[in-house]
Amino acid sequence: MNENSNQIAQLVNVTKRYEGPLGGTVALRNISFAASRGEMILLLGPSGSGKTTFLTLLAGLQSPTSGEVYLFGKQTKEYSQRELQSLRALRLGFIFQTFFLLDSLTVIQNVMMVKRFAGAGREEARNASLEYLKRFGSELI
Amino acid sequence: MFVIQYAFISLDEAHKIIGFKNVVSCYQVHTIPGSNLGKIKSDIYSGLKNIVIFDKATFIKNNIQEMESGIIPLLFIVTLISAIVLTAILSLILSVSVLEKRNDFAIMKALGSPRGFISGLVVRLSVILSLTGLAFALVLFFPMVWIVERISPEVSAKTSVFQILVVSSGVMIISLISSVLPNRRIRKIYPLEVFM
Repeated sequence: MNENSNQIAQLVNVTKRYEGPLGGTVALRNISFAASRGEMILLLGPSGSGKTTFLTLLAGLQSPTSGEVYLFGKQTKEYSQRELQSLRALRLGFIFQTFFLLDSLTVIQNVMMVKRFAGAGREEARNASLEYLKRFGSELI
Repeated sequence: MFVIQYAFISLDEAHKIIGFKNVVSCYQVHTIPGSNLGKIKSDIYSGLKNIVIFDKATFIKNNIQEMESGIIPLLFIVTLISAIVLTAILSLILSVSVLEKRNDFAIMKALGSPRGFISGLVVRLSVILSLTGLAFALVLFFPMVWIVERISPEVSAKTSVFQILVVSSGVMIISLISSVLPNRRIRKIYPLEVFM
């Protein structure tokens, strides 16, 4: 897989095992998956089936026990922590199950925060965030 | 307090403590400019036994020596202990704040917060707390000096801008040191915690 290909994320024979006192749990077993640019993929499964593990592996938040995870043409283990952080800020988007908005921040500050992580200045982040909020009619909140 | 030359006490208070009237530890003698100091000294010696006379320069030198060997090291130790305690308290407050916001910091890390971003927040909080404390101290300092000088006129609490700057710099250093431990805690927060 390379950077120019249409695929943005790929899992090849990935297994993820969580060690524990009672012998551990296998969350994912020998999974292969590929997501291409512009695709919309819905991941469905019962609680405990490994959806979250799958997504955290794709985001480079943890490493697989075996197998390979590619993100934008490069194996996640080849990225440094700083590069992965930058990737999460610039090229990946998260919507958490329970939103996880920061209570201590206002609505616009919550939106601005991610733009700031991506390197935008305060003013630029504010303007962009206002624009996003306007799209949802939430700029007055 | 009577063994040394330098004592933070007024004569009236000394009389109250000792319980004897008309007993003094020292007299300050003002001379007319151009007087023969040697003659004045010998006249005093001839009239009063078991006393020691110092001229102004020697008296000031002795006092400075006394302060440098006795009071200043003591004040330095008290200041040092206060600084250590302040650092510990501030560090504890910030650490508790980090623990309370652990989940928020994990979210920020998951969303791609740069390494220095969260640390910067903690340092900023530490500096704000320290500056607020400093501002309160400065506001209270001058009325306190005024009160102390009214209660104990012999105590002079003169302060220079330089001294205030030194104290302010010290407080800033304390605020930076205090943020080291909380920042180490932040390093141990993993973005994956958000999903657990």
